[in-house]
Amino acid sequence: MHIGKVIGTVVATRKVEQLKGSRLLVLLPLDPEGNPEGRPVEVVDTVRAGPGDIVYYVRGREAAHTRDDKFNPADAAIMGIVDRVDL
Amino acid sequence: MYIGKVIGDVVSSVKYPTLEAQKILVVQPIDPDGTETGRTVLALDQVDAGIGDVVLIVDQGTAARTVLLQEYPTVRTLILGIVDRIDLPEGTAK
Repeated sequence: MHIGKVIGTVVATRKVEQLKGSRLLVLLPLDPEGNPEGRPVEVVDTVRAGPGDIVYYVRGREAAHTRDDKFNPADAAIMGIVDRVDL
Repeated sequence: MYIGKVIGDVVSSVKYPTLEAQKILVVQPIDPDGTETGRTVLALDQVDAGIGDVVLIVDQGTAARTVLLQEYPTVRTLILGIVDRIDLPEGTAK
């Protein structure tokens, strides 16, 4: 999993059936020290995160398993909100 | 998943059987603020997108499988949605 910061929300009314009902957020990947790392990604929200929240997220097939119907094309999903990282 | 802007389409009359009846669009990846980033990619349209649309892209073979409903898909890049709007609250990206 990786750490990122929620920087926005995506509104997409027309989408494939398999993604209906999923809330999509824009995430800026961060390193553990909080520095931006790479391009923003679009992820499925699972914990009611919002802009400004530091979260951790999973990439790959496992992201799809957060939906009731596992047969969906999500490739990134938020797994939790970071309260603090101690290094 | 990432977002991009549709900048063209590919017309192809000879294609591999698994691509039959699929519309192929040319997509330029963009940042949420609209800045173009990285190489263009060919994606199979699943939502009737068109040139100029900002779209949601997935680039993963197993994801493509769930939408194309093919056991052995031969592509990995799909257009999953049309982005109406991206809300980026001021200052959050800092």
